[in-house]
Amino acid sequence: MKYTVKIDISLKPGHNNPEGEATTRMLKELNYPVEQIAVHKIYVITFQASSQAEAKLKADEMCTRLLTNPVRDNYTISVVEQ
Amino acid sequence: MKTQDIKVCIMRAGGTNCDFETARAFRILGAQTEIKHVNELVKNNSLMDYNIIVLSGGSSFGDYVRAGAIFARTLNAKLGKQMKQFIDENRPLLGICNGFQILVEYGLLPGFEGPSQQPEAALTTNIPQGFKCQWIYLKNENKGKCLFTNQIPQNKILHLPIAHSEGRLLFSKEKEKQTLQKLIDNDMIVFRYCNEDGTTTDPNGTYHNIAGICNKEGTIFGLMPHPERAIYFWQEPTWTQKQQHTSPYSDGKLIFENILNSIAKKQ
Amino acid sequence: MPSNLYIQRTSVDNVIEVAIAKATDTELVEISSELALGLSFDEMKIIQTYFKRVNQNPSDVELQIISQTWSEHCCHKTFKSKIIFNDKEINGLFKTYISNATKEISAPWCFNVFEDNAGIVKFDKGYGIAVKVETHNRPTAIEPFGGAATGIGGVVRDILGVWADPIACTDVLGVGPLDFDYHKLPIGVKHPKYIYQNVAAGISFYSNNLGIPTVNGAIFFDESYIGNVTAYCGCIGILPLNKYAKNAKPGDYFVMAGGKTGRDGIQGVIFASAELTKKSDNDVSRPAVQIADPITEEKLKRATLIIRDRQLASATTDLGGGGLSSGVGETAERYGCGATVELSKVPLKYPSLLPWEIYISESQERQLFVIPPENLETVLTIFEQEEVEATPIGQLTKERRLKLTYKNTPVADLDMTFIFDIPTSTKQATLNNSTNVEPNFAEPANLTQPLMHLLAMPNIASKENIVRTYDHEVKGNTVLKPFQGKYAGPNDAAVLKPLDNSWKGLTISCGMNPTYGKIDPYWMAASAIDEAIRNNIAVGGRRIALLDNFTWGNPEKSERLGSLVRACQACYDISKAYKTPFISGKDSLYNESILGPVTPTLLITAIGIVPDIRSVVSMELKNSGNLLYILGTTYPELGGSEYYKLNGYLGASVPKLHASKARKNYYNLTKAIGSGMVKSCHDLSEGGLAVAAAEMAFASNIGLTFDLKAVPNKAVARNDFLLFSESNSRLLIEVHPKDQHDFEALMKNSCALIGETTKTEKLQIHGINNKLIIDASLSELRTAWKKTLNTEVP
Repeated sequence: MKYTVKIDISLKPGHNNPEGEATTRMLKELNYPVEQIAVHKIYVITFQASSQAEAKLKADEMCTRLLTNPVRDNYTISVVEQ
Repeated sequence: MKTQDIKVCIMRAGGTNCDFETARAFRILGAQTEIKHVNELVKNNSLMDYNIIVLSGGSSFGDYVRAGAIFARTLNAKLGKQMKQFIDENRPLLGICNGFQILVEYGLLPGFEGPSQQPEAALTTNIPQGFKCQWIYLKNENKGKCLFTNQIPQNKILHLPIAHSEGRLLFSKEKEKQTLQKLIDNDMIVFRYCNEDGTTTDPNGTYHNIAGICNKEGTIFGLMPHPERAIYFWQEPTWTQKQQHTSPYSDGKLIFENILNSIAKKQ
Repeated sequence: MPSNLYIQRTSVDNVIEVAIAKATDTELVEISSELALGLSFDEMKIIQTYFKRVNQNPSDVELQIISQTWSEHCCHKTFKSKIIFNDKEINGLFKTYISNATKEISAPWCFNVFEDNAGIVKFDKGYGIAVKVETHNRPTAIEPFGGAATGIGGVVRDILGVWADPIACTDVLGVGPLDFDYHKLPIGVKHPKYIYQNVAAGISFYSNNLGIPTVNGAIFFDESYIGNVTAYCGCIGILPLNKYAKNAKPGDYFVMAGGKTGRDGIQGVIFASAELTKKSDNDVSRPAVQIADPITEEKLKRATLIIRDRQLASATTDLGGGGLSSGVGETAERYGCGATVELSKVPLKYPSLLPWEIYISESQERQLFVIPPENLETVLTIFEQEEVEATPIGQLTKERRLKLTYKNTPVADLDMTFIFDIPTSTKQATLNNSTNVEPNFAEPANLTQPLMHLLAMPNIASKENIVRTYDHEVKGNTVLKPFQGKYAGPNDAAVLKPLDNSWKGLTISCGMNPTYGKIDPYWMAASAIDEAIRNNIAVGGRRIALLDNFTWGNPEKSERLGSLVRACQACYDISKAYKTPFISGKDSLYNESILGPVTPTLLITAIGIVPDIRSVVSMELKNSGNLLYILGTTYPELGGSEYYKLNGYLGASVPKLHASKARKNYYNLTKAIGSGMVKSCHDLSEGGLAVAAAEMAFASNIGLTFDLKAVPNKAVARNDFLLFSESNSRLLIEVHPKDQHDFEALMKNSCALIGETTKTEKLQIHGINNKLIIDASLSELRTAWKKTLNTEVP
């Protein structure tokens, strides 16, 4: 069956967040009272799997093998059946 | 082994772009130098023909996912076995800029317990954010472990350029202190950023001002600055200010010379 | 709407034809507008006559081919058309003023000019240098990141199009003031700060990822650029001249390589030539810009150079404006051939593209190669190794017809001579009398303050934070960088050492004085040429070639055309006087927005050589105790100057040029540099003498003291005017005292000794009244210069 998973990658707490900070500054300059910005990266991936559980497992593998660096990234996976 | 018998491979993939000047650095010192696409090394199964592998600068695979990540996985998938043999035989591996990012993503640096399954460090977005092309100073803090710097006097200051947007070395926050201690204990720190007078400084927000590290064996070395752009005196931004040029060369040459000497001596 | 004239073709289901023969005059105009052909009534009439004669209905593919081939962007109609100016007929601006100058100068080192994708001059050891500068205004205004990136992509492919390896990029940007009030921006116009930051990010993204150093450029701020962003992207390449393969013949294959084809930039060509109206909002215009992919271009570059070195191709050209239509058509025309193309073979990003869309798509990172049949297989293998998609799509033919098929069914069949018989028109040009007046204000008592303010003016202030986001070191051949010396002063020109086995260097500089264009287009153009050349001379450059890039308003308006004529006349006059030929150029006209026309802007790029890079001269002072000379004469010429602007004026006394005198001076200075007598040298431009002196001093933190009484001038009776006049052809020169005699003998009184370098870390200037009129610490001057723009960017 075809599954679509959504992988949401964010910065682990404690690390500096230069991209978010730079964007915050710019939005403040445009007069928005922004306090904090977290920049996430989202991959939406469609592939074949036999079950939702397998789809999730595969997605988790993708994260550990390529999509994330454990030193820096947190991630969550959500599965949407197709 | 004579220098002219040493075979250097500058490995490239789509988006690699400092290969010519890196090859030039080895070539003018007398080594045999070839620029090879990964696909060619796979096709000819020829990785083990070389004495040094160099991953040069650039933006391999567009720096997509994370800088160096895709090249590292490609290398592992297509040439993993040969890479392992190359490393197990303690043949030297150099990563400059994007090459350093690849080595970190591959799990080869720091590689406390040998190559790791997952990266144990990250080279990530500069602080302040953005690409920066600038000449900086580095202090050689290695006590002699690193095969690429062990003939350069300890605490010697080198003048080299950086040109990157993701050069901030990072370790797991919760293990930061222990990691640093391990790096120090194993003599794995090679270069730290400094000012002309040797006081530490930090052009990109990197942890502990680290600009380059090696593995425990001293055979794998990665650094963000570009020694291949500091081979000749006329590449320095201040060369026009000097009255006399005592040497036709510049500081970057020391690193290439050092590794060729290390190999020549060893074998 | 003449919908009854559109007929679905029966032979192929995605082509329509137009019953043009029975169209009325009104309907002809409607057809042009409905199919977005951008053709005038006269041109439609010519097309109607042709198809009546051949007794056929044109297909939409055929009409689009004609529209592309005849567009301003592809054939530069305005520069080719006849112009009536001052009751005299000019037979084409390009021919009369640009290419004629080059022809008359007849420099033996010009290898190939105006013919190909880029101009080529001879260099050393059998190598040539190829240079091209493109305008990329509209896409940059709509989407600055993508526009800037694809601008570089395009000009780099122009360089690949002459078989050269790209070795450096240049970038010049004109934007509105960064502090412009957000509330005053018209809908659809992006804020200058947004443009500024995103253009820089786009340049950095594309050229850094391609691994080409960005070594020279400029950023200029002017209110007229708010609605008319001005962006120039240049590229310099090197090629072994014996591998410059341009010998295509019938039977050779067209191979398309690189990125896939999508609906990108469709009608981008016409868009580049049509006046920017408020219709150019995001919805209408966004397809003109696309996501840039530097890595595909990098791979394309590798493959191109391998094919060149193994001499496997007979020609190549980039696929830019006009897409395949321009690439195939112009190649066939150049070699006196016809062509066949099977459109269904073109690799697509997504299905459902119509045949005419495939043919004129401007998708990026695509290059066209012409390959003799015997080499086809080898070439395709090379592309495969480099992971570049490549497909044979057609052939050159002996028969002078352009025949396109889609799935083997004919969709276009046109006579080549008809397509390339481009109609020209006669245009009227007039020149308005200038109404500008000279201001009248008192000389300030304190002159240190205005100097500090000038150093902080956006057009003078350091752009270091932006420039350092461009890699100017990659390839390891940059000898003089954008910033030189320990304290990073602004160099006049970049110097490259492109060959490992030669000390010969390449000098790259630019000149642009848009503010003068508000007063007098002739002297604006003359000043831009002089500035580019004197920047080049300052580092030791010689044998200089020029490139012209015009950004102008709508040439259908006679006074805009008149000012263009005057600028072109200056190009001819000064090019001839300096014996510096034009080798390439590009124009962007119709730059008008609801905020008004663009300030007439001519960018001049100058490419020179130095016999030995070890003898180049940089701008930072070298030692205390040396002598300071000024070359050239200072006139009371402050019209359009930064000093007048600082005081709220434009003025009228625009700097003029005394080219024959200047040429002699430059010649002598080059000799002095060649013999090693010049320790540092810096060009006097925006902000004049005081700003140039400050820059030289704070770049190396060596003090400077001089006396305005010693400055050669014509009727300049005020300290501030001597300090800040922007008269052309002037340079500051540092000389060691031991060389005083030889230097003065060589310069034959054209140079005046005005002061000396000191250990004080101060800039001290004595006025005509003998008083110390400027006394400033170098660190304060440096801070003033650096702070304005370097805090603007995060």
